Amino acid sequence: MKNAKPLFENTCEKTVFSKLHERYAKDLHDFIYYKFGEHYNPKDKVQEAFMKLWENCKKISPDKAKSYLFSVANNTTLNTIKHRKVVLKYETDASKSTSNNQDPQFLLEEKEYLSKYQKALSKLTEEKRVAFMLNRVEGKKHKEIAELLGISRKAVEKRIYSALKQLRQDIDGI
Amino acid sequence: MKEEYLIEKWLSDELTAEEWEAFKKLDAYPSYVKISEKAKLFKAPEFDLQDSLTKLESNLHQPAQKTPFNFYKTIGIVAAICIIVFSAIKLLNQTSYSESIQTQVAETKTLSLPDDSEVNLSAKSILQFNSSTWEKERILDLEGEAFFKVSTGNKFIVKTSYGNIQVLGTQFNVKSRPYGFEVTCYEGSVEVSLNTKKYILQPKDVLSFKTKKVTTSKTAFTNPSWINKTSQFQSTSLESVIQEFNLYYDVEFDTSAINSSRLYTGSFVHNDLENALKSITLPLDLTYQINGKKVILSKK
Repeated sequence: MKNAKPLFENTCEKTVFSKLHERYAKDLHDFIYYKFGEHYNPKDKVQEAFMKLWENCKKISPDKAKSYLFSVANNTTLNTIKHRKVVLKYETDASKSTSNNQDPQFLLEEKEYLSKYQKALSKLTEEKRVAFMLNRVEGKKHKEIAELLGISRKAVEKRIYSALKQLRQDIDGI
Repeated sequence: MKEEYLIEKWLSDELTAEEWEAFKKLDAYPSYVKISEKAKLFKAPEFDLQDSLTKLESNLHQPAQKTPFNFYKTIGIVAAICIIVFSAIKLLNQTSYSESIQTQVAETKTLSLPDDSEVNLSAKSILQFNSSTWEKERILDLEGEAFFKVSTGNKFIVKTSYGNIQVLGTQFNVKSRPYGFEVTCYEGSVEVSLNTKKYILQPKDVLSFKTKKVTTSKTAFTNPSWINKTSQFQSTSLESVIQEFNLYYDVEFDTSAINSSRLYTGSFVHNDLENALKSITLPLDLTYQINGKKVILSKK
């Protein structure tokens, strides 16, 4: 499918455009979220990127659209920030419901663990955090991540592995 | 050496049964599995594809290609420029705005600042800061009460309507309410600027400014009492006590039958209305009557 000749030369076709949206919008959102955190409204960045694509639809062929979307979203977000620590929120309700009848000692340890985890995550470089979260949380294969980010599979592997190592070091203090 | 290989295989879901056994035997195995499991708690918020598409479609105008008239093309360009300029202005404004965190009656919040400093915000308080210039200067605006655990770094300044509090890295509580101002230092040292004068507080020092007088005293505690959900008072007018009471309970007091300038020493809890009312009324020989949201105080 990847090698098939593109049916459309540009993206100025509603059906092509919605297809692109369906395929990439969520990945684009997750990429921005894990890279920059929620502070910069990942959902708005997705909107902006697709609007930019639509404005320039004549110049961009469908097979170029993915990398165009990712770089537009990345750049517009970068424009609004210099550098800020990224703190990802954790789902406290989920941890509550699974451990409702746990003893307070356990709950306290869990809370400490998650807060250490949060700090450790924010210490990771953007690249490592994005690759790690897409793989572990969103269940993306190394190959898929490599394609999304436009890097080699080996690089993805390296990023995830060293993210994991660094998280363990920071959380367990080893 | 083998370990790295196993972990990488595990991360790409390619472990064979044998390798699984070996992987499970690693010392770090439970630790890695836990990290991988718990990562899910940090999942990005749900993304609603349909919602996003609908929004997008309503934002879009027809592509230039489909409209033969140049007129529309021009309008499209103008609209696009407007959208870009508008969103740029909006984004710029966003970053220059202060961040503002607010609590309601009976609500407290714990937050970490961009430099890992921690703030516990008490009820009915407002904390504001500028996240974009945070790295250069750590300045906060506080209205109400908050307990700070500041990580070391450059100057950390808390501005209140009474005066400024300046520290380097320490733990301290600031109470800035209409009926009084109080700074308590728990660790390190704190500099308070009040009415053009400067006061240096050492651990356990309390500086209060009430009825236009500055007094200093000592605390025996390592945390402000409100963190443990109680408010404590030392010879404080009942009027001020009631004002603080209203921060934690959504009630209205009727004090017409009593002398509200009497002094009160004691404490009340923040999570039990009856109990709290008893703590205030008993020592002063008063009784109370709850009538919906109204509390009537009267002499015994």
